[in-house]
Order: sequence, then C-alpha cells, then structure tokens
Amino acid sequence: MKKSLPITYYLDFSNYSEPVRRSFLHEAACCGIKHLVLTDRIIAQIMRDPAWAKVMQKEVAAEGLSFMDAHAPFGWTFDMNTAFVDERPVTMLRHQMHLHIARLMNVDSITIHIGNDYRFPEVPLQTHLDRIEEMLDNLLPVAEECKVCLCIENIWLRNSTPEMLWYFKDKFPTEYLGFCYDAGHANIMNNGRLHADGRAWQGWKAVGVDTPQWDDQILEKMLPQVVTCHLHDNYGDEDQHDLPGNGNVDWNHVRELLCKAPRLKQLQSEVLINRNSLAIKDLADKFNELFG
Amino acid sequence: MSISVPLTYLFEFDKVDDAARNNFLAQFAACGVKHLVLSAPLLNIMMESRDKTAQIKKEMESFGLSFCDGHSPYSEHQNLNCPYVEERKSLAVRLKMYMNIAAYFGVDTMTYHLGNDVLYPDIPFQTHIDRACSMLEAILPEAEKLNMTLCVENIFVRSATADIILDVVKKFDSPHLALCFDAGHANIMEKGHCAADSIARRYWKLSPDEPAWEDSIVKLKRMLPYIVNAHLHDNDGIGDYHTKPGCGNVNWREILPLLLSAPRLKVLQSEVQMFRNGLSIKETVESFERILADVEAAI
Repeated sequence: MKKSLPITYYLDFSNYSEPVRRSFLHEAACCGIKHLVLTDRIIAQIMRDPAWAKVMQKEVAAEGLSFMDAHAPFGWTFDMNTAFVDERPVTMLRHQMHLHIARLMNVDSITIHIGNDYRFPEVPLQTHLDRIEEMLDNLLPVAEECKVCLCIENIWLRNSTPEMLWYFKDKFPTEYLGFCYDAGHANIMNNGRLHADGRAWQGWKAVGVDTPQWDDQILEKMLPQVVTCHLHDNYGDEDQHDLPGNGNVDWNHVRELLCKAPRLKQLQSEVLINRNSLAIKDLADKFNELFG
Repeated sequence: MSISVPLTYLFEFDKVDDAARNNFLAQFAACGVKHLVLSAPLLNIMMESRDKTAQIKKEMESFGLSFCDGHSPYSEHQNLNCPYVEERKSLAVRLKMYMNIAAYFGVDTMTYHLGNDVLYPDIPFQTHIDRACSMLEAILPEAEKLNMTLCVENIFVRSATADIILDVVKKFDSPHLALCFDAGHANIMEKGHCAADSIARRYWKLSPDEPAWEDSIVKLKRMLPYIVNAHLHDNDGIGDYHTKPGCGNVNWREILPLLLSAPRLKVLQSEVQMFRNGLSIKETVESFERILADVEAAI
C-alpha cells in the first residue's frame, strides 16, 4: 500500500452480556485489532438509550480499541428511498440522529444505505432518485455540522451502480458526501453473471430489467470519491460477507486500486464472523496479510 | 361540568415481549379502555426500531386502541436540562424525533421533565433552568409545525416546582407550551414534610432550604390556567409509587373537580405503574371509574 491505512473491523458484539462483551473485546485486542466499526446495532442501541454510548466507549477503550468508522442502521422500510411517505419526516430525523451519534462517538465517516429499488418495484426509478436526493439534501448540512462524511455504497441493484452514486455526487459536491466501495457487492455485479439465480439477477428482474448491468470496473469508477470501503468476499451469487479468499473477489486488484484512492480514510473488514463461523484470529491475520 | 376529556392509561410496553403484549392490549380493550399513553419506554423502543413502531401501531388498531398523549423519554441524557454539553445538539434532534413519532400516531400533547439538579452539585441551579429554556426554544418551532402542545410537569425536585415551571411557561407565552399537573408528585410536595426520609427531602439535598412544601389544591389552582395534561396516580407522600387511586392519600375528591375545570385541559392520564405495584388492568381501570364517578355524582 502507498500509505498505511488503519484497518477497522465490523464486529457485532454489543448485544452480548457484559462479561461476554468484555471477553470478546479482549480477544479482539489480543489478536492485534485496534479499530472497530461503530455498527448499526450499537447506533440503534444508542438511539434507544443515549447512556449506552458511554458504556460502549468505556468498554472499547478498556481494551485499547477505538471506533473509527460507522454503519448506520438500515432496512428497506427506512433507507433513504423509503416509499413510506408519511414516515419520511421521522426517517430524516432518524438519519440525522445517526450522524449525531457518529459525532458523539468521535467517528468521522458513516455509511448510510440509499435503499433498494426492488423493494418498491411499482415506484419509478426517477422517484427513487428524487427521494434519495431529498434525503441527502436534508442530511448533508447535518453531516457538515457534525463533521462526519456521509458515504453512500454500491449495491447490486439498479439504483446503486457507480453511475447512480455519481448522479448524487454530482448534485452534492460537498466533501461531506463520499463513497463506500463494497468489494463483495461489486463482485456480485461482476461474477454474479455466472449464477443464473443470483442476487443481482433477482434484484434487477424485480424492477423489470432482464439483465443486470454487469460491471468489472466498479472500483475504478468510484475511486476518486471512495472515503471508506467494505471488504468481504463471496462467489458472486450471494452476499455472504465471508473472509477474503473464501470467494472469488480479486483481492490483488482491489488492493492495488484502493491504495490510489485519494480520499480513502480506512479499510473496513465487513466480514461477518458470526454468519460464517470464523475466528477473530483468522480474520485479523487475513487482513494483516492482505493490507497490513 | 362533565368529564369530556379522554382518559389514557400508561402501559409498561418495555416490560413485555411481543407475544405477551397482545394479551395485555386485549385486556385493556376488554376493560373498556380506548386510549393508551405513548410512553417514554415505548418511544425509546421506537427510536431503536422503525419496524416495531409499525407493528405496535397495527396491533393497537386491531384492538381498537389509540394513543392520544405522550411522554417524552426522561433520563439525565434526555431531560431538558441535559448537563452533557456535547450531547445537547443531538438531544434537540432526538426530542424532535420523539415529537414526530408521536405526531405519526396522532398524539398532540407530550409531557417533559425539566430535569433534576440534585445529581450535579457543580452546576449552578440557574444553569439548569437556562438550559431547559434553551432546549425548549430549540424544539418549540417543531411543536408549532406539528400542532402539538409540550407540557412541563411538576416534580418533587427543586428544579421542577410549580414556581419554576410556571415561570418557564409564562416566559415563552406560547400556545404550544403548557403544564402537566402530576397529582402524585403534588402529593409528595404536600405530605412529604411529615417523613424524614421522604423522596422530596432526598431530592432537595443540594438546597440549604426545606423543600417547597405546598398544599396540592393551592398548587393546582396556581397551575390551572396552563394545564393541558394531568398525570393521575397515588402515593403516601413519602415515595413516588405510582399506584392506583385509593391506595394512597391523594385527595381525589377535591383535586379532580378542580382539575376538570382547567380551561385548556385536553387529556387525563393514568400514570399508574401496574407491574411495579402488582396491579391488574381491571382493578386499575375500576379505580379510575370510581373516582371519576364520584366527581360526576358530585356535579
């Protein structure tokens, strides 16, 4: 790598009991992990109970760890394009709160899902884009106030291709809007073509498009505005969030390009160790081998 | 005079799981209840989960229940005087979100805790009041937008006496800011002087003076023009038990008729905590039916 970027790890531990949380964090620290993702679950917990913020900060700091980047809570019912129009005022405030929580936790970038169009196939694409634009218009001043960069992420769907992300970036040139490059999702939009009933095929067919817009240049297209990244592996069919090497993402290619990303702040492991029954040690060793 | 305002019931939503919740909602409906309180713990749950919000809305509707008043969540991080300066901006957003969730349910009055001073000996007393006022200033435009009335509640602490909250409400002179008369808290500030260990004495320990003891009826008369909501629960003046009317020494026969004459009153709320006091929904509802029947009979 041209420059040494911190590696942050998405570890979903905050719903464990206190002794288990402490042991888990100690395990992570013993495996050489330094930085954690402020996860969607932790943010949701702080939404419910603001006092939880200090509990988390204290427990993480006790192991010499810190939060470095964040992922906002997500779901098709409250992502930026939500078609539940009567709830949009609450949804906007919900995402404003996510930005404020990131600020309070000393995190300076947060990934927020723009939303998936296939959930609302009856809604025209332009309406999705307009709704996302309206949400960004509301959120970006808050992001600026909080000094937190709001990152939008490539997914395997029609409304979250690199071209779509640039559509929004061109409308909002502020430095507080950036991209989150998701290596696993990019792989679905490339190697997904090999799997007849893969996630990409399903997602595009649901909105009336027979063939997804396959793309093997996603990172190249996003690179100038990539602020954070989600690194995980799959075979192009499912969104497995598996360990690099347990799929067919071309990690050499990803590594070479990411080191040229001018705005990149950190490298994030978005490997889901619970879903894939992985050891923290194997996770940390793999990321150190690839990016350390 | 007749009892024309709705009566809403507090239910401790946070104490039951999804399956049990439906049994309790069915029981409320079977006991003739029409309205529940959009309570503070419930709003906290809804902050965490949008989908739970939609689910509970559907369940309430299926039992013919609705929310018509709310209680903004309270804690040292959520009260109007929040002492954590770095959190105050996000608190304003948070409070607006509670209001918007409430508005989504058609709720048009929300009760607020100004906050306690007792935990913060290093913060000058007036700073608590100033902070509460600045927070109200930040959120009142949202109340206006949502056509909602924010009600500040009398508590048994130095920073939420009738004098303090009346000053705050008069200062803003807004149709969207009013008072919530809490009968149980008023009782503590009336009868707590008899006990050395009353909760009021404990919460006034930073003050060199005795707690501002006051007869509940005198207090109610002073607050009356500004009262929009009321919290009804009972105690013995020593502890804040939130038990059912009749299980304490609140003077319901005098309080209720006077309260019902409040010109801006929109809603009466049972703030009885049933689980905490081992009470059934049925006996709680019956206790309210009794005290309200007494008032009607006296009219």
